[in-house]
Amino acid sequence: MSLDNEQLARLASLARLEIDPAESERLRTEMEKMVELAGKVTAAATDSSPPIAHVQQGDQPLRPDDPQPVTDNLSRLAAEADADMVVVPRVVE
Amino acid sequence: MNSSPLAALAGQIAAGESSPEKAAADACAAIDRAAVLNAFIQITEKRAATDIERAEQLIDSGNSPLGGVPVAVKDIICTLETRTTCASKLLAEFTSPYEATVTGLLAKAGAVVVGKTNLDEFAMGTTGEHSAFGATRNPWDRQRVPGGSSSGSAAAVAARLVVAALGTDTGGSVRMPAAYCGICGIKPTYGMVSRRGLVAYGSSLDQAGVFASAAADLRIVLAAIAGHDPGDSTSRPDAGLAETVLPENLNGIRIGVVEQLFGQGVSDEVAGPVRAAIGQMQQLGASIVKLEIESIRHAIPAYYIIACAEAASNLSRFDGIRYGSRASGEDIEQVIMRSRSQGFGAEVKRRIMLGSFVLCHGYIDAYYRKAQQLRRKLIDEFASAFAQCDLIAAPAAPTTAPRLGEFGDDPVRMYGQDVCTVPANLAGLPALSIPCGFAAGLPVGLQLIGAKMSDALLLDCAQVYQGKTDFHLQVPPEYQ
Repeated sequence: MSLDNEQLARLASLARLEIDPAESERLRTEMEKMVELAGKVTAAATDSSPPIAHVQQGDQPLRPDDPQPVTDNLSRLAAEADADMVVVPRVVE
Repeated sequence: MNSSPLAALAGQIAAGESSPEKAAADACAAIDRAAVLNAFIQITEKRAATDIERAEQLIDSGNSPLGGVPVAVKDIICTLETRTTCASKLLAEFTSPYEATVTGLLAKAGAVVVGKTNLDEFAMGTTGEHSAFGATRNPWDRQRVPGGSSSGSAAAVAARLVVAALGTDTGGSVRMPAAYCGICGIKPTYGMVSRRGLVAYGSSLDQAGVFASAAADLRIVLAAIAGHDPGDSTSRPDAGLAETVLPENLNGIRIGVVEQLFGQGVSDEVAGPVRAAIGQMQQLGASIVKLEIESIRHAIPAYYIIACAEAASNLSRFDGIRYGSRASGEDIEQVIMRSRSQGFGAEVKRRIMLGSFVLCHGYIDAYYRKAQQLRRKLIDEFASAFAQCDLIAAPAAPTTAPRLGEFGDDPVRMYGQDVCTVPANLAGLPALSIPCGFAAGLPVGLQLIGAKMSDALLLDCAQVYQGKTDFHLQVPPEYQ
């Protein structure tokens, strides 16, 4: 399957990535190979096998619904913080 | 020829012939001497000091299964008092606010974490070359890759810098480097070991694993880290390594040989030693059952669809806002896109984009849903196989260690190296790799795959095999 520049740009947008124009041709070739590899499943016979998202299909035990200690000071992980708040670029005009 | 370097070192410490502090210092000196391997991203002095103090108390109280021995941890597993970089520029300065369950259990058993090891960025790679901190090199031949993604952990154990190390295995990232480096590596049953604190790549596939030079040591470390964890919703309620009495032979064990695992690019130089090892296991009393698992031929594309789809979702959290480095931009969208573009390496970007492709409208049914159907079919076929055999023996990797740069800019050729390992991840099965020979001076790995929760059986068989062979005792000449 070939990918045109518009499709590549759409994929990058979905992945929240910018494409360096100098690398776009190489990336397009690599992505075409990867999509071709993935496409091998389309011809496989799967009969009526229902899809499975996870190997553990049984009920997983739930934790007791009790309050637990909260990891504090998480804002220190952010690139920019003010007191206990994460600073982000303006999102509301 | 069974050996346990871990138990031997723990014994020396217990006898007062060494100490956790001396063992850690010796390990750090060895790591320093082997710096050319680029196996470590950081030496964790502060963390080691904390662990040493705890280990000494545990040894004094007679309750230290890991006895103060130095270990290494793949730098995708969160540890306190260290950075956790995932070998990514984006997380180069990231320090986790909490400890992974597996490393917490290591410390409680008396291990000393002396360093965090190199890896393919976010565990995405087969060779160990895709790290923001540079490629790791194979101790058997430094012009060759050690295998990935747990490249540094494997190289560290192979060069005898530490007696054991933790890795993670999403599609073969413990077994592949174990095979290339001539050591032992186990990927436990999915849910056997907690994933809490492992930075997620493919959540339905990821599992922490163990490297050591001998199967006996895999058992000691796995016993320490296995168990149910309420902090991981995918942890099995029955998790825990079963205690067994080590048999003297393999009488009564039925070994399945699946021809599909010897096809698809498996070289003769690998197939030969693996078949010879199966023959030796037969001489030790095992019987051989020939089997077909048809869906294995679709395992590579199915795996890359599922793993990349999960990666695209899991790595969406790395936006430059809450964690890691942040790029400048005029609005929040630009900040996020630039942070990710500047922070992620090429292989991670490719996989996120493939994941976005297979999940997007118009393709999700043809790709992602189809891969999920194939996964179901593979699980069912493995279940039928294990009605006829106790374990499956196969190569761990189709070739010996490739040269650095051998796959160039062709990621799909690199993905082909995963052909023998991804089926066990898709089905959630335990699997291990042990050395079974050499080809042109490079190690060859024998893979044993078992039914769910048969981890102890796999270790029993590996130990019986190692009791009669000495491949696991071979050390790269420069590190003897």
